[in-house]
Amino acid sequence: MSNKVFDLLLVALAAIVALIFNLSGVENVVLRAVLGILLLLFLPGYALTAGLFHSRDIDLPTRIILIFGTSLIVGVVGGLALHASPWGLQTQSWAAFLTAVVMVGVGVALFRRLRPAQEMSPAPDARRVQFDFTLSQFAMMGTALVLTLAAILIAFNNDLNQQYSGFTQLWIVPGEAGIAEVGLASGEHTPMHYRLTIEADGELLIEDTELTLQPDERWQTEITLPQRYTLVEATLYLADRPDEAYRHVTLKG
Amino acid sequence: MQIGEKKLLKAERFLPKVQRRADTLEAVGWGLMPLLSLTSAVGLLLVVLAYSFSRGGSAQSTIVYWLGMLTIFVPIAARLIMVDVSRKERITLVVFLGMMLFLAKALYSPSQLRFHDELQQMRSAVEIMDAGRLFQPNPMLPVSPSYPGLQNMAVGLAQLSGLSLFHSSVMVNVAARLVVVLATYLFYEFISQSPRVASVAAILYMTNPHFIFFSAMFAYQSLALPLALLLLYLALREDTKRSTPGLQIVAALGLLAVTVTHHVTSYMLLLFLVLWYVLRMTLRRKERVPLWMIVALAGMIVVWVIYFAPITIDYLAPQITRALEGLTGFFNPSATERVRPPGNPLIEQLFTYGAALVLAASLPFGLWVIWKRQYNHTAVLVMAVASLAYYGTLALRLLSAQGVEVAGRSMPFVYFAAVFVMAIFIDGVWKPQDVSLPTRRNLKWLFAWLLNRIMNLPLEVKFLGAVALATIMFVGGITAGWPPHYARLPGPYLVTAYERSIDPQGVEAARWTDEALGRNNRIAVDFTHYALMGMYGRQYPVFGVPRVYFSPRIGPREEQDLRLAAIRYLVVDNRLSTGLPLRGTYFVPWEPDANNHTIPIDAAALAKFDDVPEIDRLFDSGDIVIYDVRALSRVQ
Repeated sequence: MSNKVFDLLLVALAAIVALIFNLSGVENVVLRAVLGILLLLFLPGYALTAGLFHSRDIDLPTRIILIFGTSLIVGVVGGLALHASPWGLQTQSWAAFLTAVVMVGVGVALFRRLRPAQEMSPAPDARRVQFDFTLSQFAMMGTALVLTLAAILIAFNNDLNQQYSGFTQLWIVPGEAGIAEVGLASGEHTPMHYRLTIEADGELLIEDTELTLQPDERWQTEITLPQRYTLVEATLYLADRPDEAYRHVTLKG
Repeated sequence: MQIGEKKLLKAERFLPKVQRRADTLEAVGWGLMPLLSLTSAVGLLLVVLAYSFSRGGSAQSTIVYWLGMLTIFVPIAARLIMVDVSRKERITLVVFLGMMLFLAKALYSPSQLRFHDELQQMRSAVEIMDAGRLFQPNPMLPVSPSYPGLQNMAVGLAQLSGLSLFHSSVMVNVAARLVVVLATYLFYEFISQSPRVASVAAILYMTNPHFIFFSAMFAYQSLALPLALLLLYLALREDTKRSTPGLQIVAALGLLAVTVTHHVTSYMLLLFLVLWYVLRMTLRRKERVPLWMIVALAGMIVVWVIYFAPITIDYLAPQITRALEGLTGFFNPSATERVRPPGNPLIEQLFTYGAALVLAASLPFGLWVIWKRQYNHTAVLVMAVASLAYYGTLALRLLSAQGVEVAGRSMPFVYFAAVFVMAIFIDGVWKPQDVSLPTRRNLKWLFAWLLNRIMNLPLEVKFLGAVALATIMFVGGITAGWPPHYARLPGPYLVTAYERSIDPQGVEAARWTDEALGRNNRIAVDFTHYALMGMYGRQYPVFGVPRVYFSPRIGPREEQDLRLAAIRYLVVDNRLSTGLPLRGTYFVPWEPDANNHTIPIDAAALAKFDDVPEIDRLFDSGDIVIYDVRALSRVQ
């Protein structure tokens, strides 16, 4: 008997662990990712396929398509159900809903598999796939797997490290009560040295400010705008090119 | 003696031997699967290296890319066209090919969204994630929230797994891709009762121009289509002794899932089922067509469109009308808009048209084989009838300037039937005794003469010919598909070139608007920033004010444009003035010189906003400047 229901017990256990994991809010990035993927894309389909279909009726390809297809269907329909529920689409509501679906599927499957009549029924068309590979075939598939993983790693590495032109953002945003926010953000590839001037109608609002920003670093300040002005402008210069405006923003009164 | 009869007899002596192994459902080993998994992995590695070379600006990257794609496809295609291949090897290879082609798309940009359609759909997912409810407005693609199936899957996975929405969407698409390749195979196998026909049709389906990239994107059809094909397979199984209530439960839920995931896919599924039912009734076949599925799906579609997605009609009707008007306009000498030839290099155009020609020319032969073999299943006849729609899409594509988009979008559906007929033709060529060749009297017809000649070719020639045709379709599918040739490989910024225009400076400028300006401001943009400002900036992007950009100064007409469009902010990307728009337009099809730009947009025209007293220059990142135009448009 244990062999007949082992897979179902495993599926139920995985769903319960995923539920507990999501309800308790434990922070383990890898485990959470694996359990989340299983709970949405595999377990509901596996449980429902086991519950709704006789194993003798479906061969391996059909079983695979039903497992993943049913999981996708449950996810789509589940989203509608959660939307209509008071809880909406939240981590906990998803986890509870999907675990419930898995449990129902496992329950039906257990009932069907443990029925005495079921034990006697033959599986006329069940064609077990034999994974009878030779050593050289294993080696080829292993190499294929390594090459595929290498391709994925190379692609990620190159995408993340693609060299784009560096850039620096300068902004001025008027706020409430005559206050404006002036900010600077570096998207450059190396530390940058800047000089910032902020003037209102030709008069300095803030003394020349020398700034050094690391890549991805930001700097912000607030300035008080004059009661009346025609032009407030913030100009950014690179330290090594002090006469050439690098960035320029304005507010017009 | 009939022409070629001697050769036929020779072939027949040979064929029974291989057929015993070819069409058997018994496994006879893994054959070349391990070796071909290795060659496809090598191909994928080459494709990824091509992406890397292209990012570095290497001119050799295109050659390496094609070498990689062909290494993935050709050996597997050749193997599946052979006759002595076991079912399990065929299925494994079909799945392998489908997943490797998926990786070829996924690894184009493995760490961030770049494709415009994905960016539009992702906006819906982001809004759902924030609100915890479906049907959140999406100004980029207003119809998208009404079909939330895909988005809620991605949101669900992101919430459960802690992965980003982007990586969650990739995982959902992995599952969808597995379903689509298996569903096509199993469906084809069920109706043809031939693993060979099924596997050849399945790989030919992968040559459709949308398969590699578009059908693997985070776009609602990528999920709806696999589910629809799964439902078709379940509908077939319902007619057998293997039908169970469980199957009906899954099918019923599946119908709902397809209905709420993608409009056109649900209509196509309904159309297929209705056609199947009508043919079955007309021919008085005994098989059972699941009428309940037709009634249920029709009911779901009607209810969904009326109560949840009334916007669907406004969204689809104009596109179809324009396409058909374009078709009639072709015969009207006074029509202003003509079909533009594709801008691909000549060699790519040859493959694009070659692939269309191969499929179009194969269909009559395939239909002949279907006619002669007298397949039992009515679904085969449905496929035969549906395959004729391919000629309709070709007409739209070739004759209607506005129909190119509709024809392109219909490819995943039309190919489903058309490639099956082509696979039947390829299979029929190997087994002339099944087909009863045209008689001498009929040989006056070119068609019959050609068929006779093809049937009597040596097996080696037939094999090489079939591989060559499949390869032409594969290459033609890529050249006709997505991305366009200038963006097929990732790399440095290009002017208005879809994926190649997405770079960190644009993304960060969009993110800045979200932080500094708040959300859903109506913001004037060019085509590229439409996607960026809509998704990363969560703004209400408007690209319909081209005159404001092209005009040398801001006058009353430009002010009026801004006012009518209720523009609050305006994005200028000065890089537009450094090159011609590769997609043909910087903004919209009705901009000045659209699709005929000979010089880039004037840099002075883009800089004019600095001199307007009512316009504030809020943001400057070098190439990208964002202006506050509320004082001019009088919007608060």
